[in-house]
Amino acid sequence: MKDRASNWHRIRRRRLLGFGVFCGVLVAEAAMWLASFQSHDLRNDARCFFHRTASTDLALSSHSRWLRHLGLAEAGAACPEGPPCIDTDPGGALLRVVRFAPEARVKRWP
Amino acid sequence: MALAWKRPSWEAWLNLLGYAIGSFRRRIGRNLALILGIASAVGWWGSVVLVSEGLRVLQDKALKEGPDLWVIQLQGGRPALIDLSWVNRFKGLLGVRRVRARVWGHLVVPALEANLVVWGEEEMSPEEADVGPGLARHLGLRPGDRLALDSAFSRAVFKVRHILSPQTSLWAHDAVIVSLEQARRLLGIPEGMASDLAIEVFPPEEIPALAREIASQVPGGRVISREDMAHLYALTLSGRVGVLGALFGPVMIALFLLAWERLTGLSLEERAEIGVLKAIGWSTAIVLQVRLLESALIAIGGTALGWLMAYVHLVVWRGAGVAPFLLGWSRLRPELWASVPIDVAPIFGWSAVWILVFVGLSLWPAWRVSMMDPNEIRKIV
Repeated sequence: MKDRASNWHRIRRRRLLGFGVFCGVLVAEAAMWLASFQSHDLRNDARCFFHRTASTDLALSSHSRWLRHLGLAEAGAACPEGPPCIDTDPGGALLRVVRFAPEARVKRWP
Repeated sequence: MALAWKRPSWEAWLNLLGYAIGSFRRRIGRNLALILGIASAVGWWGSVVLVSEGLRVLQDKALKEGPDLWVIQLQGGRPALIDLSWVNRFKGLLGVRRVRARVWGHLVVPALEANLVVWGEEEMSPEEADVGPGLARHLGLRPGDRLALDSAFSRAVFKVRHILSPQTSLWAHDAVIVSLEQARRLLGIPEGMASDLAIEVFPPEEIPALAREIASQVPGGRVISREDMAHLYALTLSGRVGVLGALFGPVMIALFLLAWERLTGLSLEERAEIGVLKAIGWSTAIVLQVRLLESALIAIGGTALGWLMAYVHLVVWRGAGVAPFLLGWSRLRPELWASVPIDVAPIFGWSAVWILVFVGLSLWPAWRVSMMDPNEIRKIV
């Protein structure tokens, strides 16, 4: 009986050790998340930019007013975009927009 | 006779946990498949949630730092330049603290195949420019370098004074700040006109009344309040997440099938195990506790692995497949991963949903079997 009991304790210890490793992985993951967590407070640099330009528009989709200047997007406009490219998807797109301007075909700078 | 249930001690919990881990290991193949299924669903959805929630939280904060109202002149339904005479008229309105005439616009840079946003600022010297971090990186600019900007109206060469901090990337990635005169020249905005007006209001309670007043004064004027902007951003980002949520449907169905499998089918082996436990005197409550621990191990393991996958997807693979859809195509897209905070609230919220649903579903069949007489279970098995 005693042997069985000690065997059970040994097995239980190993299982708990495994569980401890599992918990350790969870804690490590939590630590990783916290390490990458940045304060939600805006940095002073960002505040300074807002005050200089009086703009808080996100610099997303710079080819489209969608998100870049959301307040300026005209609902229902046939060609809401300033540069010569149709804003094919006012909500953003997976594919790049079509270029029409011949000068835009200039080779990119290295 | 089944043992009467009483609150298990810490030692008893450890014993039950040891047993649950043993059960987990006995069905390791199926349990790992379940963990991978949960992890895939959590990881995919987690990427979407992290990007959209991070952006929304950050933009809410940013909007609070900006003006309260923007006044845009429309002509034929399109944005047009606004007369600067409105500035003095609006300054006289009760509640208006400051009116700023903004001179800004887009400038196509063919070499980059990108648009810049040129901002005019009074304090800037005409020979100097402050450059956004994205543009600086693309052109390899450093303070002191020279930057030539071409437009249909003018050409100007600037000395780069500052590269704006990467912390401003989300708003200033594609920005160039120059003097007001240079901005006017480059964008073709004549003296006495501006792109739009930005108005600060105090107290904030006056914003709706002022917006109505200004809209009634400016013919063809559009007045946008900070609340409108917050609403627009929330709508746009939520709309995008909604579309991705629809794409997410098949994954949800797969997860539902997994959960359904847990709900309806305890294997013969599991039934036999519960029967034996009941036969040797384990109460229904203790059987359920073991089941709960085993299910919790699977659900927590799957959810944790899923968030880890979401993190790797966002940080290592730059949100491939998700970010372009959420953010739209752009040559000068900001380094989102250096700027957007990871919001902890949705992580905990969604984890709780996954774990509670899975554990709850898996308890039901265990409870049904454990309520049966051990002899009945033996006959079924």
